Amino acid sequence: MATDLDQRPFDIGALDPRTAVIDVDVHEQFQSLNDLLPYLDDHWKRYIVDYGWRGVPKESPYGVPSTGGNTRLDWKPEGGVVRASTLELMRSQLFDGEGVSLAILNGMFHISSMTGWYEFATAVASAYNDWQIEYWLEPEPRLRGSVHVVAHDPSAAAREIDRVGGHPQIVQVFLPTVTDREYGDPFYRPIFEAAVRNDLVVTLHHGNETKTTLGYPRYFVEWHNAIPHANMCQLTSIIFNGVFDALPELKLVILETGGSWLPHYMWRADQQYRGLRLEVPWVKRMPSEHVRSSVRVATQPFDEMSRKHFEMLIDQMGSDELLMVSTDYPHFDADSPLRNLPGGLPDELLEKIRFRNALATFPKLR
Amino acid sequence: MKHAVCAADELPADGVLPATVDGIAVVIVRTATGELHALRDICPHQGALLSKGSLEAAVDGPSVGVYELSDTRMILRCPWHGYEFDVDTGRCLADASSRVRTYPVTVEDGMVVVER
Repeated sequence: MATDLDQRPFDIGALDPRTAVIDVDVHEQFQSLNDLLPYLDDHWKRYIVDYGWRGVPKESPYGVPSTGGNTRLDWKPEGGVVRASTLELMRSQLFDGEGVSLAILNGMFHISSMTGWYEFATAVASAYNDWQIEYWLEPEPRLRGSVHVVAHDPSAAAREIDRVGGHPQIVQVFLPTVTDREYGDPFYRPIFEAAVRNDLVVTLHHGNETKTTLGYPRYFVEWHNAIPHANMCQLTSIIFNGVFDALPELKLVILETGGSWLPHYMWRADQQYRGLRLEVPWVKRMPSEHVRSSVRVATQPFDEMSRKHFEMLIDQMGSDELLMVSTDYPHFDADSPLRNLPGGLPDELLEKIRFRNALATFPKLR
Repeated sequence: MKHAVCAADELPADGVLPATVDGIAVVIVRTATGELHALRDICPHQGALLSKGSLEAAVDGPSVGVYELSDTRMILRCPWHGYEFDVDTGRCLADASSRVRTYPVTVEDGMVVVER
């Protein structure tokens, strides 16, 4: 059904806000690293073809306790096909299956978690970006994508953002939630500056490289439960190192942490700032003000709560514009974008969470 | 109404003096440059006496990592949680929605006079 959309111009403005869904957390995947070879220089190809490089090493000890692995069982393809690796799968499972109107790709490619060999990493990131554009974005007008960068070489990262950030379907810069360095450090400022000058948001998403304050705990469930804290730490770094003060146009999107932590976070950060402002006098606004103007979070995996508690949560956030719906396709705990919230919520609020908040957040969706 | 609080020479040269004005706790501030200020002597956070806190120069930061100590702007820091209040405006430096009431204060005939 959806394949006939190939080449058809896609007009976001023509979507019906009452039913439209913008899914801000979708993960595409390549069949193998060999998919990137056409986009690599001969020198770097050798490391994959001849020297056996097999991707960013996975440091975490876990396996997801599911027969689907990290794939939702009803999305596990048959016949050895890699999950989320073809447009056909994504069209049938996500667009048709979940009623998604527009999806933003975040990849499963955390090249910024490499802690060295940045020249190679930068070449692979560029190859990935070119592959993403050619394989996913250009054939499917309902997709939007990310610039993947090597964050720890910020000037190279900024060059890559400038190189592909102007593509009409690239809407964000993707940063994995590393936990050994803080993105608020002025060292990383060129990445945020490049994002702003290209009308891109910056998105944080955890991965295998993300550790808790206890490192990798004994069990996956412990690690998975602590993910919001890692993002809170990076958000704290970004706020108190003055990134939003220097770049008020910047939007930071935090994925896969739900949103129920935000009231606690804002209350505590405000209280700390009131008493300790003199240590960070370049911060000119309360942290909660920065959050409400510059930070957005995706819903998945959303804490189960009653309608009453959800409406209290929105009230405590002080804004109904902070949440954006997400599925986390194709991962094992992906949400339905139409069934993830409590029943009986006002239509106006649902339109914001499913559609309008994303439109307002991503400059290139407007 | 004007209230004589104390003799001017009772004020420290660069410091604070707690006083009671019309039954209200007020802190009188004299800065190193001789400016006088009077503020309600209660932190709006949890009610600590600001007169038990510290009188300090305000610090600003034009960009990350850069500290500029003010020559003119002074703050009272709450002794409990360190909230900073501009002695001239009473405004909390971190939170514009929070402020301490201020009062006109002068020296008349050698006496510190607070208007309330």
